[in-house]
Amino acid sequence: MGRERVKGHLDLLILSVLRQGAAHGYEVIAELRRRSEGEFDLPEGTVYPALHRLEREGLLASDWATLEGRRRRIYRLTAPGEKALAEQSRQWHRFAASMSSVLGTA
Amino acid sequence: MDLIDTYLDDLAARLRVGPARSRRFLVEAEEHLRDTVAREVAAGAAEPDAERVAIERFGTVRQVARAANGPVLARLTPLALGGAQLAAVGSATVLAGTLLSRLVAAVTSTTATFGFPHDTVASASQVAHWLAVQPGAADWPAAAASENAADTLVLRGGFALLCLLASLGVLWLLRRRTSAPADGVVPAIGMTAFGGAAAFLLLAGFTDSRTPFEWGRGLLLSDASVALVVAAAYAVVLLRRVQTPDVAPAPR
Repeated sequence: MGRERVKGHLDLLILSVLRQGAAHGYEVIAELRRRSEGEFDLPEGTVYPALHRLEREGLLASDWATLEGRRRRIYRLTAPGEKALAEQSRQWHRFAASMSSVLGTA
Repeated sequence: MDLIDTYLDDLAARLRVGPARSRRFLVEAEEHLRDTVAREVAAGAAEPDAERVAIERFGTVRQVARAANGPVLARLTPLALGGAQLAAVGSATVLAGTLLSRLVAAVTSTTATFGFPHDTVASASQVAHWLAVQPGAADWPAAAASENAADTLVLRGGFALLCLLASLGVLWLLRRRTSAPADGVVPAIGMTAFGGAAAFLLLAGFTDSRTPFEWGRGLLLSDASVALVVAAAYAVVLLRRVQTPDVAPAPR
């Protein structure tokens, strides 16, 4: 899948990964790759700015923690983040259903 | 120094997000890169190869810096917001100076407030013009002062009001895009510009001089007073910014 297309939905993808629980950046990226079976292969460094922006918007919160001897920034979904995730998921499903209908694959 | 260090140095040089955000981004980037290297080495790769793989997956310096810095428009918006704030305060200052000079004229006199310096020599055409537009005036200095008073209120005051409304409109539009102007820039410029203007106007007022922009001792001193108050307010804001940094350091 084109990188530009994935970037347009990066916020939704990140929020969706973090719905499963708090995670640091490396885990978020690994989980994105695992769930998409390698399709969503963005430059890993471009995911951190999205994490930071979502935090500034109040959709994520983060804290430093030490895991396996390494200092990590752990991100978690906030209540507004959960709300945004529900809304963006709903919009995406509606859009996907409409696309499928038009393409004749519904 | 290994490949990761070199990569991070290049990245640091390209980040335009302020010191606190840069530092945090670089810390996370290094953790991520070292993590990838450790995993690749554990999987049997040689250290230099593992570093190359980690960097390749992370993205080129250009790609990552562009993503971190955000769109150019978004980076310019805080500066534009600062400019609009200064324009609004400047317009409000000119408007306040205009109204204060009218008050000073009511307490003293129109000639004392808006009159030419004593040593002014007017041409015959100027004298004829002032006496024509101010027929009730006793002499040409009184006519010139009345005309200056009228122009100050209508032209200068009206223009300042229009600029203030336009600046507030721009501020309202920009506020929807960003919440804060560039750190410390606005108070620093405000203090310098309004402080400089106040000093200039005070000097002109006390020496009863004619400036390229305006004349009349009362008007000059009124404008100087308002500019001085605004400069002092900006100085207080700047001092508070310096004493209380916006961003707390990350815990260790």
